[in-house]
Amino acid sequence: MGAGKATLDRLRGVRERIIARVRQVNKTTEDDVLGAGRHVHRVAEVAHRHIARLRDVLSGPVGAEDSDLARAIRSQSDHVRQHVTSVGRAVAEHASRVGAVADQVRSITAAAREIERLNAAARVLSINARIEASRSAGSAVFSTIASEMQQLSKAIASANKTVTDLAGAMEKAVPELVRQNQALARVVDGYSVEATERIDIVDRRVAELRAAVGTTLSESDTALAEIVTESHAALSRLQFQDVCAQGLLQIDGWVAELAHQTATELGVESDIAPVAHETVGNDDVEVDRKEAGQVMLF
Amino acid sequence: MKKILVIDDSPTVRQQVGLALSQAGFQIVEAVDGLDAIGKVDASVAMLICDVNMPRMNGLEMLEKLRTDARWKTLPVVMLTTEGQPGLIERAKKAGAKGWIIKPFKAELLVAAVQRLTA
Repeated sequence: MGAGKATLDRLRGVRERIIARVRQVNKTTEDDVLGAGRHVHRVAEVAHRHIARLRDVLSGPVGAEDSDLARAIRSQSDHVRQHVTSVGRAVAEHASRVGAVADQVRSITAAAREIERLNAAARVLSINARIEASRSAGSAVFSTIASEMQQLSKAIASANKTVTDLAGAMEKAVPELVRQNQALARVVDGYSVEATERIDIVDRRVAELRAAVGTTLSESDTALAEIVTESHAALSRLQFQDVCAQGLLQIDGWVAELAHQTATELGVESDIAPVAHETVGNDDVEVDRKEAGQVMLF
Repeated sequence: MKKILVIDDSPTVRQQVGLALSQAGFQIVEAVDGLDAIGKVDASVAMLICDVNMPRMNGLEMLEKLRTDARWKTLPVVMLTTEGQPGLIERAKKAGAKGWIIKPFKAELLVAAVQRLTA
């Protein structure tokens, strides 16, 4: 009896040491695995947040046709195109008006020549009236007519000189206006071509940028999917801890069973402590680990 | 966001299942054994993932008790365990489990199963 009790006491002592050591090992591995799990989670979380931020930053301004920056650039390009067209129209209208002024100046010059011709006729009439006055022994009527005609002719000649001078000045100014208009038209045309080319370049760059953003976002999605897959793989690998922990706790079950059997064989009363980890199944049945992870849906 | 109740006495398993499912957009609630789970099941829970070997109330007892309540007759339950004995699988099936996964689980397969059963 005494030897049996001593054997059971030794078994009890072994069990206590086994359980203490298993719990210590399990606690250590559990802490480390939980820490590793938190790191895996953090990596995936940072990747999710970073890519979400990247999507906000990139897809907002240029990612799509109707994005803010694309709309602003398109609006600016349309505005410049409209402005260039409008300036071109104004220059053409100005050229047309300068042409009309030139025509009018030519008409004024022609009119001045006509007035000069009429004035010459008036002078002839004045001379004729003076001749008639001398023939009529100083007829007062012809003398008056001759005098009036002479004064009128002088007045017309004076006025016509002013008109002719003005017309001459305008005739000199009009070609200068035409030259200035042509120079302005060339500047406007040059600007128009340059602006159109630059707008086309901006449009191309925006399209290239949008394509690059699309590719980057698509690559980011692929990278994120890869990170999630890798984090899943890491989580799957970390499960060794639970399997090992349960395996180690099985040892206590076997020692407890040994203690029961020993007590029975020795015919002694025993107060054997319950196993540290209850199992529903039979601990000795080895599960085919190739089946691990497979999902059986009923 | 669908809520999944993860029942396991191992904090590492609860964490690993929780992380895999939360990355897939599920909300996770944890219970440490069957008894704890019974107290945490409510109408907001879409599915249970349950270990078998646990203290106080094991997973199969929890499943059988859950099915006695009319409210949880059809609530999907998948067992996630190191056990693989046909007798236990059959008992779970009879009690109304929707699936059985032998640990260690493959995260992508677990996520796919949960997505299918909660669809």
